[in-house]
Amino acid sequence: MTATLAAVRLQWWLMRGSLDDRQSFILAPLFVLLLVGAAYARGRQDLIPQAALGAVLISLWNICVQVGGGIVSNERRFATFELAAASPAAFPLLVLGRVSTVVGVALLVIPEVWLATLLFFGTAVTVAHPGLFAIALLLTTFGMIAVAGFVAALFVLARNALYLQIAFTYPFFILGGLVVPVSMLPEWLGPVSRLVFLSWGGDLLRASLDPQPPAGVGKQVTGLLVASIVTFALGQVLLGRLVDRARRHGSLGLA
Amino acid sequence: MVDQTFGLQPAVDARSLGRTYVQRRRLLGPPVGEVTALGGVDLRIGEGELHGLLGPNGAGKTTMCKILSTVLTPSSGSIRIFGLDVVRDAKQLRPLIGIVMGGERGLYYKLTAREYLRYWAALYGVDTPTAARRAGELLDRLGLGKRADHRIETYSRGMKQRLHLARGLVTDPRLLLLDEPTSGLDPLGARAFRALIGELRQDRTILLTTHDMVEAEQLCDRVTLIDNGRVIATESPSTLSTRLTRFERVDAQGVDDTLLAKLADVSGVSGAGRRPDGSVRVETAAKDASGQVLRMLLDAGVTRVRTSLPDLEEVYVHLVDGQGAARR
Amino acid sequence: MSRLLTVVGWSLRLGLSDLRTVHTWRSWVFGWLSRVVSQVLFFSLVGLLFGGRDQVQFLLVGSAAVIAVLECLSIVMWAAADRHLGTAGLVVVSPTDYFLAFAARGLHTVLTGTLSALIALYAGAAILRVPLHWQGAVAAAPVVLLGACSVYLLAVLVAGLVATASGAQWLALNLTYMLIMIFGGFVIPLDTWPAVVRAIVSAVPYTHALQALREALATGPDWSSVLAHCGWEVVVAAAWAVAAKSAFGLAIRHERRSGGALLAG
Repeated sequence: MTATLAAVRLQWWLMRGSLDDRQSFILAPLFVLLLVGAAYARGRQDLIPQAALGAVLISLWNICVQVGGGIVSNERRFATFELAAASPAAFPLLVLGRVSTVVGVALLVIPEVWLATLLFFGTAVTVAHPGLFAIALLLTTFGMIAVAGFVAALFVLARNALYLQIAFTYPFFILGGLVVPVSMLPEWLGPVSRLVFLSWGGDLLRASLDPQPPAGVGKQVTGLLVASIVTFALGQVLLGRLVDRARRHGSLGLA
Repeated sequence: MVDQTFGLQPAVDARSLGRTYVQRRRLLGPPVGEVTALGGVDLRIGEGELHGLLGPNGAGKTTMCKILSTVLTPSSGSIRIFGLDVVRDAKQLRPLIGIVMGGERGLYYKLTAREYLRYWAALYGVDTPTAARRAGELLDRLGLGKRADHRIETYSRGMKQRLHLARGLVTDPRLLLLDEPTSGLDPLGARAFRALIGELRQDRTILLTTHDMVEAEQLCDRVTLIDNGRVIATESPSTLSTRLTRFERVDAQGVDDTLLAKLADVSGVSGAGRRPDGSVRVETAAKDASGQVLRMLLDAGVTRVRTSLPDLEEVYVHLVDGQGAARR
Repeated sequence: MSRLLTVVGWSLRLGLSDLRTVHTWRSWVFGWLSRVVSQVLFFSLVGLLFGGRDQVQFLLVGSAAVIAVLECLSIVMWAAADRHLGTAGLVVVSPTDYFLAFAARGLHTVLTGTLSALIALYAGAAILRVPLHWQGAVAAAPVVLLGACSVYLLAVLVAGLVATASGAQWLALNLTYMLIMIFGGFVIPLDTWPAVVRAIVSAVPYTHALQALREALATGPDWSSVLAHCGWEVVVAAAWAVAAKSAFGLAIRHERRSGGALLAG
């Protein structure tokens, strides 16, 4: 536990000094302009909350994948991985501490996007079902932590991390239903998209903003939980594998 | 002014060359101070000379190289290369200068060696047939011919270093700047590389910066000692080494305080004292002093004795002291 | 002239070799192109959600065209990498003009950017069943290439401005890209913006080429209007070329005086 907390603190220090890590906060208002602006320009004021939510989810996802995903590959690059792997703390827990910090800080885009929407378009997005919103947000946060841990390991195992980092954007914006609900996708994509936790999380968050009474909440919460837990478990297994492999071969990853 | 050593016009002629850097704590932050990298350097290099610039890290060697290669403007003084001013006539000067850096920087890893040389030849305006011919010849000459069409990322340290040299020569420059060219090479590799420089110099003017005494001694016609942004001495390597042999040091164990006091009084001994491990170190600054110290030690029955030459840094201290200039 | 061509030719080879540091042909096809096509599909779906079937073509064309912007802007990263590798300083001391040498250095991004944008356009149209008439589809190639050239000059300018600000390159790249995407008429129709914004935007590279592209792909295109938009794009590109050249000259002159990081070797 102490080690995880130390990892939280380390990540906080590292992010404080890095412009790259903070750029998503600068870009978030621009995603508001882009997505909310696209709805606004077509006279769809009713879709402004949905577009703003899209800006939040895209920014959150980008921070998780770019910053969280880079954690282990940076450890490798700066040769601090060996030090961390040699320490008595469990490596997956260290990564967990660090990605949790990343996601925790990333949540600040929510008030940021809300403000930007108000400022640029004069619309104060209201949460119709606060309780549902809180639950959805909590579970989505957990899902983000799970994904960040998973990609952190994946980027090291992959031969070309940049190529994965590129691939972990728009395909997932579609499959995760970040702006356009997955119900609008062709039917055959449905099962695939349901593997991505955000397809559940996005639906739940949208439902919490919609004044209509929400339907099928139980199913969605279950789906979100299951998808997140599976991703989380996969991430922890992969991270553990990384350390084993490093101990056996004396090196990390294939590259 | 007619320079006595080189006739009418030296290849490089620096007069009271100064360079200061503004220090900032943050990018775009307010200046917090100034660092002097070069404080009034006079340096003349004759056409065809291989001149060494010898000094420890941070002495100002790299700053000097940057100014000579036109990437940095001097803060004061003037410097002319082949009669052209480095600031005003930078455009005409650039084709005449070649640069060879040491280490892993300055390479495009995904190019082959041949492509790499052709690229730079193109940037220096070398026409295509000449560039192709020269690249081939140089790669053969430097022992890279068989690997000429392999990517640079597959090269060893020594091969990269030879490629750096090829890059410097592919434009056939009149002045070649070798900026610590053997840094990072193992002793054998460095020796082979120095041999190559000796063979390829032809009638080119070359400035070699190094912190390696042996390197300067082997290659250079003359050597300028530089430290703290100032020239300490410019000599031929042979003069320099005679000056240096005056300085020696004697380490001995089992010396009592009475003997130590006597040793300190020997004429030509510049310092004598006890070191933390109990042994005694005597430093001499005159030719016959160390002989006398050794005799006295042997007479007193001390046999665990070792003599050594001081390293570069200590030589500097001696030279600087000898000239009465300010020490660091 | 032949010297210029030699420099450009070798720089292109260098740039394409750089591409190999990032991509194998497999990662380019399956990684990069799949991302690019997904991006087009994502925005087209946004169009479907916000504006119905009519808006799909608008967003398809805009989001495909903007991909060339993204790739051209990658010169910002290459310039920074050159500094990191110590090759930037060597380029500066070569007798070739800095601006020319740097601009030639990343010219491959114009070619790959155009290619990616066109592939995204055609693939997106095929997947979404948006009809493209053959004249328009053919005309799209030179028009996108013109837009890419124009935006590349802006990219070189940005690269020159942030080359020495370590750590700011990704942000500069993304900011420029987002601003062009938002205000250039790629996703949001130009007439949404107030007149002042539109006036500023008309000086932003690629916006005229984009209008030419939209016109060329429209049913019953007015080819004279396509040509007129292209003409304006050439004017804008020329202005940015001058701006980029002067900015680069200024940056290098400042570096020579201050002994800054760009030339650190």
